Amino acid sequence: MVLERQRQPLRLAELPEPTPGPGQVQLTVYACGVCRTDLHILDGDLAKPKLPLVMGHQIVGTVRAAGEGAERFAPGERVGVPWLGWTDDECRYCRSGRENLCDHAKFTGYDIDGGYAEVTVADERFCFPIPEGYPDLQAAPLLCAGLIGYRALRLVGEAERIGFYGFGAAAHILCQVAVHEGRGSSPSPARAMRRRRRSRGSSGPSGRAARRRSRPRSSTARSSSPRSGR
Amino acid sequence: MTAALRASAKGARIVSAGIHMSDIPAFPYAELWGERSLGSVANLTRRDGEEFTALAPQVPVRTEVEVYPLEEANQALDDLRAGRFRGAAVLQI
Repeated sequence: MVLERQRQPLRLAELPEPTPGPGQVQLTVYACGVCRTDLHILDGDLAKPKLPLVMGHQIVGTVRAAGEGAERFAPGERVGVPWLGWTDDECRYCRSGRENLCDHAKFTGYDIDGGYAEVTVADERFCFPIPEGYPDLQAAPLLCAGLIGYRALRLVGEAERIGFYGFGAAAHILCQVAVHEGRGSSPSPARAMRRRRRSRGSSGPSGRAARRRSRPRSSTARSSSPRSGR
Repeated sequence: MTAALRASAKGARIVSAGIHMSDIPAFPYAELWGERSLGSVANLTRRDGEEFTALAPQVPVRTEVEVYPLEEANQALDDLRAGRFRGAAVLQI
């Protein structure tokens, strides 16, 4: 599915099969998550996508072929591809363990064609092995909603109670992780936010927030675990 | 973010994880005082990816997914915009 111009629907198209360049792997795509960031690309809030563009940055697939020098994965291995698709490995951010802030970063499904496709290619450095037995459809949302939420969870540090505001896929996933870690997650602020969002239509903030509270250890962990997935 | 700030204890960290957000309204400094901080998350590192893809099956994370065929990507995007499902939309290819 191709985005030819922003603010227009994607178009189903037959494209030449992408071939893996140096350090890249070619993947057969099984599943690709749909993210609110994709809406921001579509709507023009993120202004400079490559065009035409294949969106999609929560890709689960298996390795079909490897480009020159790509040796990390064997054909048939299942991997996930996230939003961060390339970094220079030499700027001050990359050299200080903050490659997420790389000055020259390229993003999957924005600067690089992504996973709304049958076949894609990805830099093998930014492919993660997906543990055996974990379903494709479950693994896809981990690769943005889950990962960005995980990073936010790390940034709130040792907080024992965490509130999730704007209950999207990230909060849905991270509530489960917070409870697994023995932390309390409070569903009430999320409910309040949903009421606020309804009252002002769908134009509210797209992100999620986690709040840190210092509470005594006796506070009760409450689960807002969602129903099990399909 | 201001709602989270108002609800937070001293020392709280409010972390915003969206790539594009509406403006944050002005708020009284007193709500930030007490060593509360506001911040954002940008992208991810390989370390985040490797840690989290290994952790999720152990939790195990069970995400409620709304499945669409590839050619219905526009429908999936519309449904996401309108909030027609809970959890996450996934294209199955």
